[in-house]
Amino acid sequence: MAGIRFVDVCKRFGKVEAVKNFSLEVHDKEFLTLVGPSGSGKSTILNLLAGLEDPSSGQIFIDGRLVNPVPPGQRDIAMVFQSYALYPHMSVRHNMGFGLKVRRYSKAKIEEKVTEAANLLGISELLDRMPRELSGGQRQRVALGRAITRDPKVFLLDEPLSNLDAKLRIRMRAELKLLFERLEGTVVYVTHDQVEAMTMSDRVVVMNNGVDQQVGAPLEIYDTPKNVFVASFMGSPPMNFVQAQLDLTAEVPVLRAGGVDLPFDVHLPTGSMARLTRRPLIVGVRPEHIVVTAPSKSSIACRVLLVESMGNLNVVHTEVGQHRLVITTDSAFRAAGGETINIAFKADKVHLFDQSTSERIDLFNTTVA
Amino acid sequence: MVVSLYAIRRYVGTIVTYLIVLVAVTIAVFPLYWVVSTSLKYGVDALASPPILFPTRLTLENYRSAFGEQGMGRYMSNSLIISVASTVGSVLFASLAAYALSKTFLSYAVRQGMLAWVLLTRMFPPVTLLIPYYVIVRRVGLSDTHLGLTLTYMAYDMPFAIWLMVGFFQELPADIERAAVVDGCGMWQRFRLVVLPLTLPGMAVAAIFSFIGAWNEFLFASMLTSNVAKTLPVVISSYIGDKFLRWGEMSALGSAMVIPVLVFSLFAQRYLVRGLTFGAVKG
Repeated sequence: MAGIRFVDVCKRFGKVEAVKNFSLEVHDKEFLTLVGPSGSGKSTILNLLAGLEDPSSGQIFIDGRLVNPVPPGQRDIAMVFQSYALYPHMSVRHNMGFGLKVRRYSKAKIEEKVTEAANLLGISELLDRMPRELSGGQRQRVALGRAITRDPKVFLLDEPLSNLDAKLRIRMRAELKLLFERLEGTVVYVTHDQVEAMTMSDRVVVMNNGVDQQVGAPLEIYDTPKNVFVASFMGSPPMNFVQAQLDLTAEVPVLRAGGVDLPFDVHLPTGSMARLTRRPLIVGVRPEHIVVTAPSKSSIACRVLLVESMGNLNVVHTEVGQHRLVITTDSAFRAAGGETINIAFKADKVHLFDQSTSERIDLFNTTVA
Repeated sequence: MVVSLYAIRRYVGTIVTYLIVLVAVTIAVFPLYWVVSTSLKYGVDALASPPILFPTRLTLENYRSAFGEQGMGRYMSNSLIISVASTVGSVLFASLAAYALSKTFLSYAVRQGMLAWVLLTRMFPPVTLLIPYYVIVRRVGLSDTHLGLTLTYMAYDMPFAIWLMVGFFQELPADIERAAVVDGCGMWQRFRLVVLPLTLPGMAVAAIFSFIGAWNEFLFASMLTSNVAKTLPVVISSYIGDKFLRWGEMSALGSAMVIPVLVFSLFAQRYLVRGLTFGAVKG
């Protein structure tokens, strides 16, 4: 098992820059997820790591060794493709043993490793079947088995769960996590699903347009997103955003957002509040941090548009002035369309972003400009 | 029982369909039937007018005469050797060419250009190339040799085989080759172990066309061979003389010639079907 290092890696396809100056260190035995929308460069980075693409510039190190000139077959990596890419003309057994056969392992050794992996994944009865006879979930396990028998330094997984139905996906999420914990592998996982990123990773890299937006532990990224993109991408339902200007002239500090006033009663270092008034802001609040309350000085009145009952919680779509806000409540909450309710923000859970840069404003950092 | 108009229409429709199919099949199969039945008729019956559709007396004298002919064994093996060799050669090289042409390594324009160029060779009626071929083959010293005719057939078959197989190679999911690369395969290994087995249907079709083409070819065979490498179609044509026309022997040889092709096609079609049901990639 090994650590990985990306140093200033760039990848261009013609005029398109798919990956821009990507630098990252992946620790040994870490489960790292690259998450982002389509076209963000995450799959490209995986292919660069695998050696299926060459970087336009920059270096990649696996276990301290520069692998730029090394072909994929010699990087000691194994990959699970989104389409599984099983060899259709070979049985499951041969699929799983193919990498070992190419490396001239003895028949006995191949048999041993294939059996071991098959037992681990629960596919021992499928060993003599052909890929076309298997279900999607079974094929995925075979693809995993093919990677496991190789005993590689690094596992690369390219959206392995995206072709499974929702229920199977939830189950496989947990199984994969447990599996790789057991194998003590270094895993680089690519997905567009932020739930998978949140639940499975030790660390997450959020990608957009070829640039890494933020690197950190899942909760760190969730609680302190560095910019609007990361804040909007992670979390479901997504964060609410409102453009506002801080006004300190009123009784209580207020964020004025196009006709709607949001009380902002937060204790900040004296200088910061004044400095904040100088720039246009974007206010971000997660749906679960908006509460339905009784009318008060710090509450806002809003009109209910729609209540979506999920069973375990409700997602309430509301309208305040020209803004739409989405709130999550417990399942007991009831409201009719058109009804007026009062909501309040949990002040310490409000995120502020600079409108021009979209960057997070760290409220408690005294060097806020 | 009340029978609806719809049921009657459907019933009649089915009968009409079957009748049409019967007519089509008869038209297709009748020539073959005629050749086979003629080969089993006495000479007199073969020339009878009106023609005898269902012979009442059969004989094997035509077969005895044709196959008893001196050198017939050699002519048969010539046909077999040349057909098999040109089929194997053209399918092999065509698959290599098609593989290269299906890769995006070369630009789209270059690939399309090469494919068009390859196909251009088939746009001439073969007879226009007959004399140049004769001159070249003679100059190179390959006239009346197995190699000469084999190479000629390969040159003719390969364009079609390449065109056919490029489609099959392009359909191969790129991820499967990537998986082979990650598994440690070099280029030849992944071509041999992964790519080629998956394009067997394409190869089977190309092989069938190649084999039948070479087996039945007459024009170039008659010009480029005379004695040593003579093939069966040329032998059959030799039964047409200025003073005689030996229908019996011709149809005997013709009927016999159908058999290897039938056998080969039955063998190759197994690969056609097998390859069409793979589904190792999602969806």
